[in-house]
Amino acid sequence: MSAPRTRRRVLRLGRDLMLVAIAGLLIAASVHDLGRKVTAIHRRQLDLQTFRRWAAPRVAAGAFSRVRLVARAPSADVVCATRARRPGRICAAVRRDRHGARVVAWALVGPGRRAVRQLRLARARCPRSCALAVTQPDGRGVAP
Amino acid sequence: MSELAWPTVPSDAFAVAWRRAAGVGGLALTVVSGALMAVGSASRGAGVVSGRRTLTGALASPLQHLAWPLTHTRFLVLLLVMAAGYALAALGAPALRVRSVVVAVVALHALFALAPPLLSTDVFSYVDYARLGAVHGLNPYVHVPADAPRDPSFALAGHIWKHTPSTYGPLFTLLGYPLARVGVAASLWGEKALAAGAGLLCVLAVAGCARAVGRDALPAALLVGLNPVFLVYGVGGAHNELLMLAILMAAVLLVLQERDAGGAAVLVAAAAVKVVALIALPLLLAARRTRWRAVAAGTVVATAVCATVELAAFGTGGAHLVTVLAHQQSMVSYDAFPTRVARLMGLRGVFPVDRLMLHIVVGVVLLGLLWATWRGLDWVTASGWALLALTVTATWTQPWYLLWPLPLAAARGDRRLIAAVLLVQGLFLLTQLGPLLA
Repeated sequence: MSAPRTRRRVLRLGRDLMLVAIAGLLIAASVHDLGRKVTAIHRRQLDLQTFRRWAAPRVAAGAFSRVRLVARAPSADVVCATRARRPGRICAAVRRDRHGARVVAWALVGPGRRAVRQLRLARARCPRSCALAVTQPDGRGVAP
Repeated sequence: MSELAWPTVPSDAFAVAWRRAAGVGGLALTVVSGALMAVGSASRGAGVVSGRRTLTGALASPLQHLAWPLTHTRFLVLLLVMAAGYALAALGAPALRVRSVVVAVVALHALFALAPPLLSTDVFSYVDYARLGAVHGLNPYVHVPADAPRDPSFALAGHIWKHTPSTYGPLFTLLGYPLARVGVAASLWGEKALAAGAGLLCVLAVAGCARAVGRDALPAALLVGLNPVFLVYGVGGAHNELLMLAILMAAVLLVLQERDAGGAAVLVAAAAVKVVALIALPLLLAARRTRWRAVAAGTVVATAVCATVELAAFGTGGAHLVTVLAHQQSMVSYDAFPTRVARLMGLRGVFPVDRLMLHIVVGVVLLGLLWATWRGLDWVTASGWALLALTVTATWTQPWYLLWPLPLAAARGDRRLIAAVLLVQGLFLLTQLGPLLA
């Protein structure tokens, strides 16, 4: 085989290997991204379920609508529900760990986002025990 | 001899029958799933329509009376079925009849043109930019939609573009002016019709190119005309990619017919719709270097005409386009491939240093393609690779950007390029399937 032909073959092989490597990288990145998206959806579903379970005895059935996730953080997420017949929203910080998810702080939120911001700050600063301590069982709202 | 020939008859017949079955079945699957998607998206609260809360009256789709409730999950299932149908139809394309493919392509273009704007608010930004100039007397390359907040199209436009001047070429912006004066609804449906018409012209041009290089036109046309991303995002979303690609493929056809000056001029016109088309020009020049005078003459004349029109319509404000495009390239989209790769490597995202490296990579790829074209690589294929490299390395990528290399790949029939383009499109669709797997 002549030298130019060998060189051409080597170049072609190198190019094909590079294309295969790039394709492999893109496939791995996309599959990884899909996994992240599925995990995020599971987390969101768990948060919303936990919130609904927590809110059910505190708010009359059907008194709130449009439950939605408003903030996400590594430690906990803030979920809010619009209250149907009363102004404002009821918001809760949901924390996930290996035992499941639970509400660690909550607040009745009037117009504006101040209470949600305070809630976020509280769960960012408090260790787990502290966050649990600010939850009041008597049903009155508290913005920690 | 006859003994040897005998067994090949049934196997050939079997292959032909299998191909035909795959082609017909795939075509039927694509048409049915595409039609269900287009009609379903016209329902109230469909999960795939942009600005769906305010699309009433003349803005509502004419298909709304036929609509069925299309949830986001159902949309994803239909998209998967459509992709499977497309793959089967592409495999069986040589066995299909021309008439059935033409009917399928035209019908799906018409249905997606009549559907509401899908999966993007960009079409409302097109309308808003055109109305800025045509109705409010403001230069869309200097002013932003937020400068006319009471315009009815403002509320419908995408949030991040409300404070950005137009990023589109002057030819495209001016095309929107006549209907923008009539009203938002006329402008919206005009944009949808323009996208569908451009999509069909692009398919025709691809078929012409395939024929010009001695290949079967039908598989090439099918590869573009029934592509789910082309139909759902391109025609459904009324993106100006289709107009740019139709003009670009007309330029390719002219060059393949040895009309180099005309081809180069039309290529510049494609860049006047969307600047990215310009990437093919140096490759064309390298390929036709023995006739560089014709290419240069076409380029210079078309550039002079475009610049004169731009100056007359937008003054020196049109020069802002370069700055705005540079700013757009500094943005990062969630689904861009560099962002995905960064996350795979445990990074939080793409940073300016990564972007600089990606620009260097694209530069090296373009230089390599230029060199290869100089050495004999076909310039159409090289342009396809260049556009694919751009879509894969850009930090701001949208699904309809993945259409850029498709017509070039289909027209020339380069298997590697076709496989690479379809792989990239498939990977994009894969990451949209999260809600189905959760």
